[in-house]
Amino acid sequence: MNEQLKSFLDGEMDSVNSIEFEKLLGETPSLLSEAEDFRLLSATLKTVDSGTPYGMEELQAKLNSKQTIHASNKSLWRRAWLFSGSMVGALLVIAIMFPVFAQSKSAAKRTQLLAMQRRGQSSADSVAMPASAMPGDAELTKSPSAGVASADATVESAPVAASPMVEAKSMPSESGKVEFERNMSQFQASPSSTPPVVGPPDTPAGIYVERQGDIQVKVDNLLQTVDLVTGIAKSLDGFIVSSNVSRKEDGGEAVVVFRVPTSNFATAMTKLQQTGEVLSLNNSSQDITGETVDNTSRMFSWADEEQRLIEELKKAKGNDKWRIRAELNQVRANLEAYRASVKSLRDRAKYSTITANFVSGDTGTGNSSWAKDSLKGATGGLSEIGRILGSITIYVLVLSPIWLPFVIVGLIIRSRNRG
Amino acid sequence: MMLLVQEKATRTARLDIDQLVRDHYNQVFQFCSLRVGYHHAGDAAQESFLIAQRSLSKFRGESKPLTWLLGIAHNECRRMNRVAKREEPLPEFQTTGSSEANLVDRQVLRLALAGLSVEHREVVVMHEMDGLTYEEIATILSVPVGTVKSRLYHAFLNLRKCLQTSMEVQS
Repeated sequence: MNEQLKSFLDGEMDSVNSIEFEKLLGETPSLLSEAEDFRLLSATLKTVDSGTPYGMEELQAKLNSKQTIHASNKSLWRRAWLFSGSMVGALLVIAIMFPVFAQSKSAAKRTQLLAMQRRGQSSADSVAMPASAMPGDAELTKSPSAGVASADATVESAPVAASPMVEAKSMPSESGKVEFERNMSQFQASPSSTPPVVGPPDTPAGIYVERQGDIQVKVDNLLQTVDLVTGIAKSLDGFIVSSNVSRKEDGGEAVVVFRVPTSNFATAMTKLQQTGEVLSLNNSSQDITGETVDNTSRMFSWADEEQRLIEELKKAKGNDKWRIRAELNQVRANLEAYRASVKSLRDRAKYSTITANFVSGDTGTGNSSWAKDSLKGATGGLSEIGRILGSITIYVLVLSPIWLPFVIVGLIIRSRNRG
Repeated sequence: MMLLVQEKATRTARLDIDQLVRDHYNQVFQFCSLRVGYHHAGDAAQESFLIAQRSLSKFRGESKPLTWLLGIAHNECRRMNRVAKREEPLPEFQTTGSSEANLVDRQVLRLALAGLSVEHREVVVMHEMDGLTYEEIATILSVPVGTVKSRLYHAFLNLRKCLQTSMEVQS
């Protein structure tokens, strides 16, 4: 209650409380004595001498001069800040928009590629498939001792050379042409949700192309799918190169690499797409015509050389026989090497390699993995934010020579303005 | 057009600040004099008005212009004392006064004021010497009115105690 005493004496108490307090004051001598002392103190404190004011004219003069300077400085200051602020803002917008722009650009590129694939115009598919069984294969597998006759026969039945090197050999153009079977009806019949496999256009004669396909499919059951793929490979006259199944907590993965005749490549890819939800699909072709034709022509050259040496050997006498025989051995070794190389190249063109990657979405326990997904998503989001902030910092730091002078000028103007 | 608007705004601001100087310079000077001393009060008051001029657009009219000016002056005086590393000077009292006031030994009162805490001394100075109301003090110090009342009462209690001790010693 005593705390109210000062308020009462200073007239800061409302009228109702004042009346009550006045009554209390009359009844309490100690409070009255305190009030008297407070009044005395207050009266003495009010006699403070703060001196005669000075400096008003000086202030008015300062204000008059400052007014103009301040207005211009303020304008400059605002301009500097506006400019540097807009610069920083622009940088922020660039830093934020750049990743989005890059993403959309790459997405557009992907869409374009997919569209090209659909139209069958992909550069990878632009080269036609070779004949499934090239002429001369049978001859090439014959032993070297089969001699010149078989080599000549190969020359006669070889396809037309696409490379200038082989043009000199004047190979027949029509022989060895085998049709490539395109199953377009199967592509059209494939589910619309999955991108269709694009088969190669009609095969020009004498073109050797090695085809490869990669597909990633999300399936429900890995082991069943692997069995299914093995069946597909067998039914299309192909074979399994490797098969690997691994199970993890979050599902598992199976990778099956198999080869099928190139004529069945499109069919195999279509059947693979029907095993589940296609996550990614990639077709590629490599033109090995030049290498094949080059090696074939070299092989023919060595075969001619062998033939010539055999003829010489028949006529040779004495020590010449040993020399020619040694030379013949060397030539035959070279001939065999090229023969093997050509066979390998033709095999590569004859069979396509398909790598099928299957992933399973189940956890193995059958429970939903929403918590893990959420955690993964949140972590991804956090790292994305960190990346964006990092990009902004880098942009701001790198471009500091542009905006820093404005900020410094602004600060100088501000400090002068204050001074 | 923009220039005209800017010129008009500048003119209005100038009028306002001139009016403020004319109306309140003396009070601001006395306020500063009690806090930084008479010799520095001119600088402090002038600086306060210059700051007020720059901040005129920020004045929302929620308090009286004088209260707003004294708030600026209060901060400026504290800043000047801090920069100069000096204590707030003790007030000088007039040698002549009412008979009532003469009953209190002014020298003892000065010492008693010096013995108060900063919070207590500033409310005493603001209320008794600057003549500010509780509401105005609360606005300047950014504290509730109740706090001002409490501080003032306890400050007076301390002053009274000091004076009584001094009188007992003298007698």
